[in-house]
Amino acid sequence: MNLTSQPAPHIRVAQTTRGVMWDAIIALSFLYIIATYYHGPRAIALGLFSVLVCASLDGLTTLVVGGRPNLRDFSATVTGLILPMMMPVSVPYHIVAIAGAFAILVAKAPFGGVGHNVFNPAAAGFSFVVFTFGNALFTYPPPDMQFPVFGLIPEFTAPISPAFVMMVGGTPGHDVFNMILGRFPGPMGATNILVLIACLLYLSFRGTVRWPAPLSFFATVALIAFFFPRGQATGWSSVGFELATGLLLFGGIFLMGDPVTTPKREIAKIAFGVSLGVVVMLFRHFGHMEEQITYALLLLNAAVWSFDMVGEWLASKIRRKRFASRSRKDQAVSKKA
Amino acid sequence: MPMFSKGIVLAQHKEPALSRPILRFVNPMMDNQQLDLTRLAVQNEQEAIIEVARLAQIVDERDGKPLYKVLHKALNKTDIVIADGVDDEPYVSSRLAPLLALRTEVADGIELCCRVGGCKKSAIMVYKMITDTETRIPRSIEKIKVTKIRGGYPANAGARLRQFGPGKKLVVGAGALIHLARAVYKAKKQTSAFVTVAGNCVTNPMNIEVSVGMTVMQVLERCGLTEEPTRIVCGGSMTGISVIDPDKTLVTYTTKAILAVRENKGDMHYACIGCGVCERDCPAGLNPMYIYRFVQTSYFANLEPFDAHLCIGCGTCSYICPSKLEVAANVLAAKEYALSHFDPAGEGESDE
Repeated sequence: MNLTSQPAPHIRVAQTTRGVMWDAIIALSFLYIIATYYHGPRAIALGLFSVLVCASLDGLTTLVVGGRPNLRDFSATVTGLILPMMMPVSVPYHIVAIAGAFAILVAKAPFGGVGHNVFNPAAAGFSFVVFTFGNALFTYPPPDMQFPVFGLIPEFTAPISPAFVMMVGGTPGHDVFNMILGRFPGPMGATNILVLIACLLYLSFRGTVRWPAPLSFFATVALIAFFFPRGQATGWSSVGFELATGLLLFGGIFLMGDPVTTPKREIAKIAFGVSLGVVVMLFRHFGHMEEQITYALLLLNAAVWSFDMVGEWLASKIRRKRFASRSRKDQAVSKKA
Repeated sequence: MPMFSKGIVLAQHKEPALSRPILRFVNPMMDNQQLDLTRLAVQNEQEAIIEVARLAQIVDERDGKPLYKVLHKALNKTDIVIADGVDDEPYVSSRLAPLLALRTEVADGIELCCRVGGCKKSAIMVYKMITDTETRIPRSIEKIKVTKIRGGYPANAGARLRQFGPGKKLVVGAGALIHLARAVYKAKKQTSAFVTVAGNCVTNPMNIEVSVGMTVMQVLERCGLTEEPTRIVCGGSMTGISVIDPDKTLVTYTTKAILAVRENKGDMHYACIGCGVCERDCPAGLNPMYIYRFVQTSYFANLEPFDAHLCIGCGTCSYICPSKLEVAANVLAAKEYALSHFDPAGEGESDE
């Protein structure tokens, strides 16, 4: 009988890390279905290409540092699926490849690979291509225009996106119902408000994303938008436009839902969401960028450890008070021994 | 949003062991040992019961303490006697099954404890979250009310006693009560323990009364093995010890279960992704993820604010980990280090 000695417990929960990643992939695939419906098969081709780049680079870097690439590790796949969703469907393939390469080679691998990265890889990759290829990234095609998988991208007159209108101080003239259905120019994954809300519900019911973090983020953004509207918008319409435009909903769900680069304790998660909301709104009011959430997220990623330590300090105050008698007993036992 | 978790819900897997009759698998030489109760140097009935418990060498199977010491402490100072039948770990039913099968002996034991403690009130507590049983747990056993303890795993010891009201409580395990009744009315020494034998390699999962000192392998062979197990566990499924040499490991008074498991370990090469479920479900409010990281990287000095000394060793963090890491073992290592190296602040003897 070949028995091995293993520490307790001897039963394990059925959920695996692969399952957590699969949840994110399933949620993202709904966005791809809608994007393919609006823009043709190019959307899905961009996603597959990006996944190929990210996953192969992730495996390569693991080989370079002397590890064995894990085929069951889907974290690079999720990064690869998130990246094209933040871009317009007309984006050339080489930009997607550069974004994926930056995400894996600069933001993920040098820190120690999966689970150790300080900055969100997808946010870092996107931020990098924004200031190198900004023009191509912010030229959004009309919402119902079909694109071929390969070959020349057909010419189109780019409609002005509501995010741009908000940035220059105007009020978007888009119909609210069309905006909810995703019929307005914008990144191909971030415009389908209904699908995004369904994704958030799915992920939080599955327990992959814990709801306090995105909810506190959206609430903070809504609160600031209500009291300090940009341009001519007032009150509730300002709340709606601020939440619906740009990558705000998408980032709150998929970028902030990344467990590696967000705080762990619930109270720290809420504080993180609130500060992210404040920083995003500060960027929106005083910055000159069309997309702010990735920069705000990268800025706050560096402070995740501080958020966690403050949460830990609060929790230790409470638990030391509550479980003090137990620890005294343990100390007495260890002193005797 | 609660600050600290109240435990997790586990699938209990207590069947079919729980509804099968309890088998006796005892060494006759040991089982026939009779106590000599003719010359007890005692003044009254209460001292006689305590003396018999001492002579019969009865051990409370919950914590391994001799029963006579527990009874002596509770002498005439008890308000309520509680029989403990709470099996909150999956697969284990070695307290509940004797409680249901040997009702008269349990009731006799409770009655004896009531006499020692000088009280009339008594109760039986069982775990409520068992949904897969075939035998129904009755409302009362021999006219003693059965109280069901709610909550996930681990069933909190302090909180579960609060619902019996104020006053001094004498909590005794179901097995110890049965052995006390046998010692007093049949003059029998305690030489056996109630053990659950289960796991996916066991042919006949059941609760079995085993003589103390038998080897784990003998017990497993009595119940039958369908295939070679890769892991044999002595104790509960969440807190037990994994045994390498079942031929030389003996059943003790506190062995609650023997589990023989064959498992597929193909899926277990993930890194920690920091999902934080261990922190969400830790009943002591710790952050096992950071403790695990610091132990793995040997930064023991950083462990101080994480209060590893408060760990209760329930194993929830390892159970819930989606990456299947050995979190609990690392947290216990950190606890050992913290208890010997740190003096946690604000825990002087002032508020004793």
